[in-house]
Amino acid sequence: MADARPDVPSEAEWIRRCQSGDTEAFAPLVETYKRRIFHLVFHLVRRREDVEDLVQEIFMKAFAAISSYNFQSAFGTWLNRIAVNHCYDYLRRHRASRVSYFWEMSEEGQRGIESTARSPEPGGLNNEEHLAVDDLVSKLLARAPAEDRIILTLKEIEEKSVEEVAEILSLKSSTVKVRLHRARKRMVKDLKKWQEGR
Amino acid sequence: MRCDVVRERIGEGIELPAGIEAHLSSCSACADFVRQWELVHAGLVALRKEEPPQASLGFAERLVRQMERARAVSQIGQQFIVEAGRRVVYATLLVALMLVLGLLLPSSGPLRTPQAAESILSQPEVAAMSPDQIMGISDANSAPDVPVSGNQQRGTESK
Repeated sequence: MADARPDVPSEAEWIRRCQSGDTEAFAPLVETYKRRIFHLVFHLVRRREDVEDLVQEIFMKAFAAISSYNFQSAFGTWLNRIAVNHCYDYLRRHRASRVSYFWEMSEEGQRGIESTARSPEPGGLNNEEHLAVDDLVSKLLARAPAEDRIILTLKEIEEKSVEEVAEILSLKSSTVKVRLHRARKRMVKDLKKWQEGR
Repeated sequence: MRCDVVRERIGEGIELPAGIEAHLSSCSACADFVRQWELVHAGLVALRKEEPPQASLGFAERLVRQMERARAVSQIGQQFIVEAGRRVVYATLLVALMLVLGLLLPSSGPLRTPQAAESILSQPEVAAMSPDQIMGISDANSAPDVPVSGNQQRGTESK
């Protein structure tokens, strides 16, 4: 492992160098975490064209705030927190209309969704129907409130545990559970609304 | 078991206890919720598979250069603010110093203070003068030793 070699500074050492104003020391940290942050940001905002700019802004914010990092939580978690907060602001500015998705779906997609309303469970869907459901869920998520979108993305797409989500969002685990339940209920309600509206 | 408790547990993704299974078999609303949530969950799971875009070549180096530029700009801005602040402080100190000097330094005028006026008025030659003479508005006959201004002299000659 690279960290075990005495001539290669550890992550903590890079962080300390950054804290004393060495910008070059930030490059190895960016290299280590960029993939993870690209992943998270893409799943949170789902706009390919904006991801790189957002990640760049996140890293710049992180460097500007690095003197406040106190080694209490993992650096990755601290970075995730900055990323989530930055994406939250972005989502609030760019939230899509909650009503337009009815008109955006292709006819094929609409037929697929109609059949899911009659299907007993996801396992009973064919490929096309699955794609239609995925498309609809993606659209429902895009139109969900930023809070719901972030918490569902972290839990269901990024596969974080409730405790990890709580740490990233600086919330209690019980609060995360309540918010997750509320977000799930809202997604189910939106799906039903769509099915009934057809 | 209450419906809201059942629905809260369903989303947790852990194995459902027997009580919940029994509730689902008797409550069609909760069974419907489960079915809908499974659809949503399947859609969310499918989103995991989407590959995010890769960072462009030289992303980290470019970022570091940009940070250095931003830092240089902010340093120039800070220097400007410090310099401007210093000048404002110097100017304020200078004005304050001038005000203090203006108040403290003695005036060169003889009537600046009541004490100075008293000392002048108590002199015998001044005490002998009428107030008009002191003010310089006297006529030539009553006070020939007091100098008369050119205008006053011309006016007397014309009479």
